[in-house]
Amino acid sequence: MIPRILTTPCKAMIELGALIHRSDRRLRLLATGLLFATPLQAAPTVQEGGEFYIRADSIWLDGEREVKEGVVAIQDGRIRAVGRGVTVPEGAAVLEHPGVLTAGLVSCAAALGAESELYDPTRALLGEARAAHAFAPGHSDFSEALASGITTAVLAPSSRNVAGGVSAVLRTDGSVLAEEGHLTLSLRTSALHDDREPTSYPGALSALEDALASDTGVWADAAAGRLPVLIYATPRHEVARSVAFAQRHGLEGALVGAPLAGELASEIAAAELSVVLGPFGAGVDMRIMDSAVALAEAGIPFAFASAAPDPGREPLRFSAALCVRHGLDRSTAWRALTSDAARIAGVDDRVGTVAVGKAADLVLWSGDPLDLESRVQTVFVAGRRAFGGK
Amino acid sequence: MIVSKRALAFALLCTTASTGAAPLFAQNGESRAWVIRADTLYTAAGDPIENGSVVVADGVIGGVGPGGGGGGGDDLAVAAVTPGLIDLSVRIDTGRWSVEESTEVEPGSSVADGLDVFSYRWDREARSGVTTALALPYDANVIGGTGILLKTAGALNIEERTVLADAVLRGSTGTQPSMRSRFNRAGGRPRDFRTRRPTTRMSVEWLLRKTFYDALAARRDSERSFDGIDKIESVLRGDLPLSLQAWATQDIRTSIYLKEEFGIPKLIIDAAAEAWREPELLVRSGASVVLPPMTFDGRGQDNSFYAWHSAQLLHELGVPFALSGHGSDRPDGRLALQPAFAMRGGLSFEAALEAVTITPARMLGVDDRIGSIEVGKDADLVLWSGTPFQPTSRVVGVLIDGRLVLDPRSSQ
Repeated sequence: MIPRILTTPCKAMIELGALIHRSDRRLRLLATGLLFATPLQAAPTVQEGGEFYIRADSIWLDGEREVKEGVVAIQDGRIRAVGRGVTVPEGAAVLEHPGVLTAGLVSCAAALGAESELYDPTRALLGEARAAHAFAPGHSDFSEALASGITTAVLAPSSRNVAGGVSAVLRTDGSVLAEEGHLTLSLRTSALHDDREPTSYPGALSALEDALASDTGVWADAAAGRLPVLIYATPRHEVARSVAFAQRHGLEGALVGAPLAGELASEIAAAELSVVLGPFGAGVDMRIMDSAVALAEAGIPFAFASAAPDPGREPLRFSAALCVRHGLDRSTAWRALTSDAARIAGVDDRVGTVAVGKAADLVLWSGDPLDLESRVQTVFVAGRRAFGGK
Repeated sequence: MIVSKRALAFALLCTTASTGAAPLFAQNGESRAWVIRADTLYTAAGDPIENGSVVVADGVIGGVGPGGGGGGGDDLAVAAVTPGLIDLSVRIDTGRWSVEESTEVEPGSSVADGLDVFSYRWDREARSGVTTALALPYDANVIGGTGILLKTAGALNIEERTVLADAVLRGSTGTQPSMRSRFNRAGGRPRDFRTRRPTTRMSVEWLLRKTFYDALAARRDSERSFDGIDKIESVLRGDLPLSLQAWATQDIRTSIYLKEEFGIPKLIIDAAAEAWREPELLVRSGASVVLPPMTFDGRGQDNSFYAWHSAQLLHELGVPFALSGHGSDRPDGRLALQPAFAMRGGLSFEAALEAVTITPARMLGVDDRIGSIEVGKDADLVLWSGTPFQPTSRVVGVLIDGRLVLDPRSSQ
């Protein structure tokens, strides 16, 4: 435990205090004195990246497995080792965390740093456009996302075009994890404009079918199953239409929005699609909650969307907690925030669980992250501290 | 009416069963074997049957005739039974999103691609006695695409509810196709396709005539072909009926002149409020008519006036006609009460019954499957608390494909 004397506003001093090996109390008391004298220490710190260790009271490896009082070894931005038996060498940089350590949260639809740049009204079909070129890396949306524990986000083009473009998968430090995420389509009424072709559902389907007949580019990739799709659809008839369309063309990917998707679970399961839901607020309809639980019961993977987050709103965690409150099992809820979301985002080889070889995109929580009383304390992205410091 | 031996066996089985016996073919309590007893059975296939019964099994009519039944078990007993009502102009659609307005003529589209089968409006139609309905594209286009005939209740997907895909090709005369067009002011630049769309009856008619003209020209020169030309060819051959909306006299004339110019075998004039003004033309043309629901002042769209005696006049002239309800949200606007207004205008009960059952089925060529209570046809039935179509009677039960959509035991 960090001594009470070190709970001062100076985060640097607190960090340094945390580095001191807990087994030698006298050494710690001496170092405390030195701290006030010389803020900059020669001992290795976690801010510098490189190799360091985090010892936490609880490490959530994934939706099922937990390691109590384990250690994560981080090197070159990746997890080198994790477990109870990880040896921490003498003098190594160690961060003691009296709380829970997990993989960073994954948002499957966000609009970070890309206000008004993700929707182009001039063309209904803009499939080749890339969201990766639409965001500002230094935007405050990223620090807000980090404050919610989000380390990975799918930057999805708007639902207001029938084919909005190709999504990008970002890290919330502003870097690009995958430049080509999904071909983003929309069969919502927001994509059907009064003054531009197509104006209707039959027109949109016809335009998409013509585009999918192409033998090169993103459309050919999507038709061949090489590039997954995201399809925005809201009421049940739009969901049914989108699922039938995806199945007809052998498309893989996920529906986005679809609040009552669970009522069409058998069709969605037959089409082998996933679903991106929410975000949910406190006033969410119980029927929508029932639908989420039904998706889980049908074995359909789902994840959550976060609108460009408001400070402190924590859309992903709130959505998951509401589902758990309604009866969703915790393991599925956690996977919806992390590993299933990473799979939907197409980056599950790199993020989504705390496992050897994966990126050190980690969050240190004050307690159980599915309990809304807990808070994000520190966030690491690629082994670098991106938020917090306690 | 002959009651088949199998059906009689069912009837006997049901009547001799004690109250604790399980029904035959019970699946989630939905599609079961029923014996429905009625004080009067109106089959639309002959004279009414007093104290008759209908046997339903496997979603079809297993038997119908006098007698039968006996109380207990799966019996339903009501005052009257008619076939399920058929509405050829139910107007349940997703509005402007059901029709592609970027081109005024879109024969290749199907309204099935823009249909909301989850809408509560289908349920409302089903519970008010309409068991089969023709869904059409919203009339924002000159030709909006094909319509689809479907059951109003059942599985929540279009495929299983479809009775006939591409049932008609839908077009519209009158003012509706030009309502969302914009004038291109002199000296102004056209902003979008809305300034190209028709703004008058002349250009609406021109576009209808041009479509058929182009289809004929494409027979000689394949370069003139266009998307959906196969639907126009089907209309010209008589395989696909053309349903044209035409409320007012001039629009009814336009529709008939079009039929005669191109020799279109099957024309259905929908919402023909002023059909009563063109008797000779209608008889001469061989067109069928769908009458709109009666309004409190007789006023319809396009300043049309719908006379009380319209149905009776068409009946006397031998013009095939059906009544329709336009999916109204008012009980008096729905199909179940339209025969009452037609009868007030002089139409006989038998003719009124046919106008909402067998005649619309015949107009779309599905009368082998629906439209009357006969052995082998779909078990689509309406159960009434009294003489059908009277304002003092209620629809107390509805079966669609042998499934009970409205239960008379809880609604009486």
